[in-house]
Amino acid sequence: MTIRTSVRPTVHRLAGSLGAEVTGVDLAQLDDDTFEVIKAAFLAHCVLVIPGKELGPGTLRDFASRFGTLHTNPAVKHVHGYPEVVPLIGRGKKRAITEVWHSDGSYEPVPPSVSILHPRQLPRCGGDTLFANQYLAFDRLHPRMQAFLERTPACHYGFRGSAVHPSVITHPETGRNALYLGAGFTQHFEGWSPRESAPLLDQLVADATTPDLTFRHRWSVGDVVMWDNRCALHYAIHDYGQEHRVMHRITVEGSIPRFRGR
Amino acid sequence: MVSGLDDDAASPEGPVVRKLAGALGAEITGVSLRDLSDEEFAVVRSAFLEHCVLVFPGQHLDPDAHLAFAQRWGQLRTDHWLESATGHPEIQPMINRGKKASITELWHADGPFEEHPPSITILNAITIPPWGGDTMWSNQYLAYDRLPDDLRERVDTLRAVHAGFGFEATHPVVRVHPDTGRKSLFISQILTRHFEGSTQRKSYPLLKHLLELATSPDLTFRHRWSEGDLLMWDNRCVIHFAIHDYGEQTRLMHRAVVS
Repeated sequence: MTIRTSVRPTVHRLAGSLGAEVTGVDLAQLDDDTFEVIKAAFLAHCVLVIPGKELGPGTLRDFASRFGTLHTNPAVKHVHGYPEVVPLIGRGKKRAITEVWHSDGSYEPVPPSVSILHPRQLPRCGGDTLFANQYLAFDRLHPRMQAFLERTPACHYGFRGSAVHPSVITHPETGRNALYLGAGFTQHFEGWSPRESAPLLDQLVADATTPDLTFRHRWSVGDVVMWDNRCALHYAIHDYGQEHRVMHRITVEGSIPRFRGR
Repeated sequence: MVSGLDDDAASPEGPVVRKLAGALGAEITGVSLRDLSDEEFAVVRSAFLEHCVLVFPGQHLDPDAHLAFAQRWGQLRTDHWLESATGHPEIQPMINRGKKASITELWHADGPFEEHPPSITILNAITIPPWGGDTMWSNQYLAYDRLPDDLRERVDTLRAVHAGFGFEATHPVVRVHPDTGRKSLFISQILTRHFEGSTQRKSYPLLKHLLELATSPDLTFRHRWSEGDLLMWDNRCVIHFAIHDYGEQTRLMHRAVVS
């Protein structure tokens, strides 16, 4: 028997373009109805902030696994006993590779669909994360630019490989088209040199991350933040010097990015 | 400057200062701006000079109280190009005129095209939409400090022409804050037209490059407004950007500007 509490899940938007907060839920004991509310809010708002108590790696994993198969990589350091939970430990600003607009794992042939972060240790201030809505970024482009991007794939490179993906992808669950380019891993259009690609790529990413397309999250202990890599870019601001910042991260396995037409 | 009052060191009675981002911005709680003692004002003032942007949540000041607080910072502007509906020519209402009519959705200092740009802007959040309408600030002390040596030496010698609303003024690209003595970059998007003695076309690449460096996210703070917030920033060392992502929803701010 499910014990129902009087607290109902409440969703409220945090910015004009994406991002919503879900309150009135306990991720440690989530019933199916509440999960459906969270899932629908996630697809509608691209980024969810779920404040609450600190969660252990097992609870975080159980919540995440409702969204799909969780990614594991034996080569990557994980929390002991939890191969799905990766501790992200700040290594100083110079070594930060996430302080740039990107979609997680876009350099992989099958990038993760969803990323979930839960802080273990936060600096006293700073370390906000920015998100940008790539559905709207695509919608805003001129139809001729949209048509060009629909037929011009882009090449992504990372430290664990490279991949070619469409520059516009159709979200497998919402059916909406989103721009799929970034500033970090995306290096050139297919058949174009990096030099030829740079001016257009830079302009597209700048327009795709203009402030009115973004949401900025200031972290608190207990937050669970999840974002949809298929329709949002993100950027981890490093403005906290030598202070420690440790996050637990889980990623959900995605599918091959495809453009399915308009 | 006020490091001893930051965070946990502050007493429960009186101002508590908490930083909100790495580069600038702090929140002050534990004070009522309606009756701020001279001692409290001194703490607030020194926090303001250190953090460049201060947020006082939950103040809900009426125009009289807003005016009285703002007057403690200096002579207030009476901008008649904004109609006054608050009973005080020093307190201007700023309403949502729609995204297309928005003139503040760009990185700018207030009034750089004036001979004597305003020093401090003090906003009182009266009506805030349920979502959207955040404001961002960027720390221009740090923007200047971070420039590569050769570029810093170059901009030290430059002056720029700023224009807008029929005004035009020329200012040094690097200015010195009268109270802190620190140097900061002084450029705005669009409003800074060109370097003195140069053309718009020739100035554009360096201006664009400087603006990019000056608005890097790690130099910024972004505030999500709540009704009742009183917020002030220092135009002598920050630029700001008012995000318009709230469509036609009602949003009303009362603004006071210190000369």
